[in-house]
Amino acid sequence: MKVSDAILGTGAIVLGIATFLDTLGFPKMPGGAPGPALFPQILSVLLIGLGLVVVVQSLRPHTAENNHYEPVAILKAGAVLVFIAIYVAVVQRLGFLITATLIMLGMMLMLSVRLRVALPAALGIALFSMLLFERILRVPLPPGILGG
Amino acid sequence: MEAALSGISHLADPAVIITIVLASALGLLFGAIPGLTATMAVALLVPFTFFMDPIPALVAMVTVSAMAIFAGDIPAALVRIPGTPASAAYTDESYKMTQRGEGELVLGVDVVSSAIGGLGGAVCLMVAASLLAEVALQFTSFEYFWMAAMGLSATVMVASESRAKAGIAVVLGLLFSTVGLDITLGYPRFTFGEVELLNGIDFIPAMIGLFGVAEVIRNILGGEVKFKPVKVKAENIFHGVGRTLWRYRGNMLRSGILGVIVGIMPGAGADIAAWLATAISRQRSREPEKFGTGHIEPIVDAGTANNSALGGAWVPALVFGIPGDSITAIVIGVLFMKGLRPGPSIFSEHPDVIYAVYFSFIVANLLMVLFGYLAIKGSTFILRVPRNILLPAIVMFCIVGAFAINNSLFDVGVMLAMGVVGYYLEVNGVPVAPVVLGLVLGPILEKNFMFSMIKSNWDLTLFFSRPVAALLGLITIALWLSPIFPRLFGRSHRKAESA
Repeated sequence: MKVSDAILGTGAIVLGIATFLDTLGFPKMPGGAPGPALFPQILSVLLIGLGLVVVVQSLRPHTAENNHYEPVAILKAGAVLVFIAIYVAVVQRLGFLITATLIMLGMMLMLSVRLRVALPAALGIALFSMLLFERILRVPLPPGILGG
Repeated sequence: MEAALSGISHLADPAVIITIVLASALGLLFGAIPGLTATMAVALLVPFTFFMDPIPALVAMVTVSAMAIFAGDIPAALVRIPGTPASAAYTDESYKMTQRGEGELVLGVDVVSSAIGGLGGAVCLMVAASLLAEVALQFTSFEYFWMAAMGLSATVMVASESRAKAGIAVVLGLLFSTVGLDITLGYPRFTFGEVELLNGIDFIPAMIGLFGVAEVIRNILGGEVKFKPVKVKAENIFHGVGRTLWRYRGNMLRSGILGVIVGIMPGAGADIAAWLATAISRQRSREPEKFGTGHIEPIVDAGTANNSALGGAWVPALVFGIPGDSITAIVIGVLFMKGLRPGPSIFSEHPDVIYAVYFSFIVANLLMVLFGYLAIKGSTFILRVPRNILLPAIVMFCIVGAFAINNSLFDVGVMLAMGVVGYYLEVNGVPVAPVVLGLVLGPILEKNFMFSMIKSNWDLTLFFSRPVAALLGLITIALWLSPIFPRLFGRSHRKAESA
């Protein structure tokens, strides 16, 4: 039995059911023919069916749990998403340069780059992207507390 | 003819020449660094293409992908790690030859066979696309519906690990594509009250999330890779290449054609072309006993096939708006962003764009010999680029890139959400590329399905009433049934054996 696959399959089934239920409130075409709901409904049925297949396959006795990733690596990979979320949350207040430097520094330290390499690298890349996007491509990056 | 000349003149523009040089450098770098793929390089290019004219944007994407697929061969030969998945099929073979001191020949064959494969792919693209565009002009919503359905089904069928999981990925992508105002009544679906979602999930940030962020995550999941490159003098990498390639000219022709066909098939790209070419090479070889010991034949075959597949993938992308691989899935997104609708009409409305794509394939593959040589020379340097600094930098470029399209933090949020989806799928062994294919093809599939249904007054038999539609429909249904029937077959066979 492979637990992660059973969860994945169940997730697909739940998403399929939720989608289907949501589409029940969609309006019909004039004349009563199915309109906006039809395509998502077909998809939700497919999703439920495929989810069932994955669940059934995961229950087979000979499918052992073979998660080939290290738990630490999974955590570090997930942390990348957290860093992006932090960027979204604080960039308006702190501005691009500080936020970008900080999250890159965080990620580099997490990937065991030494501080004396990581700090100049993070700052350098942040300055480079600012130059590239703000000066050359004219994308207004948030200036934040450094003003602008 | 006029359009052809105008296509050429576009490439002579200094801005385009600079674009080609920069794109080559980016492609070679991403291809040669293990873990960074051609698709990722093209995805990261997208925010920049937003600020370019359509032709330099397309030229850049062609160049990046061609260079990256070749450059993936370099670390395969030097450190036994494929630079991109497209070089995985013959990594062992190349490394064994390098260990035996034949590294120069391997790298020389890599670059020249890639260039020849790419040129062959370009020629096939020109011929096939122009011919198919004529046919495609006759297509109605029925044919388009089946084309999109067939493409998505093929994507699921070629999935390596689990077809059910690949199916979930495709349906998920399709489901994402239904977010926003629907095409029949303009009813807002699955927007959760967000005004920004009324126009649907923006394709560009979604793709940067799935191909950029998720790829960084895949790299980190893989753990730290330590390698020490084998020293290759690389003084005269072209010595003996001509003789070798002439000897295997038949192989190159076969693998070049195979690559184009695999490329044209939606969902299958350069990596599958390389695997198939290696397998057929072994089957057809006069010296199959040499395979696995460090033999040049499969390297010639697969090196040709993976680059010719790139050109092949553009055929359905340009003619039908249906991507042949994940790179052209991105290209279609960029075409739409530029107001160019891929499909048969683009051939008559914007022939200069089409010719510019053709010629940039030729230019990129000719330049590959020179730039590839330089990249091989500098390979020890490229392989020393610290990935632990590069990965955070790529995350940063993903963030700024997603932001730059609409100057909106909401788009960074979309990218993050897709990154989360990609992360979960990646950890559970679900391929991410089919999600993007679903996202691209969803609107085409739904629009043509609904149009066909309304046109035919809900009579499903009309989906098979036109000959081409019927043929495409039958192929698609055969694809759906294929996982069921062989299994039934297999079981009865096994039963017979045990009895």
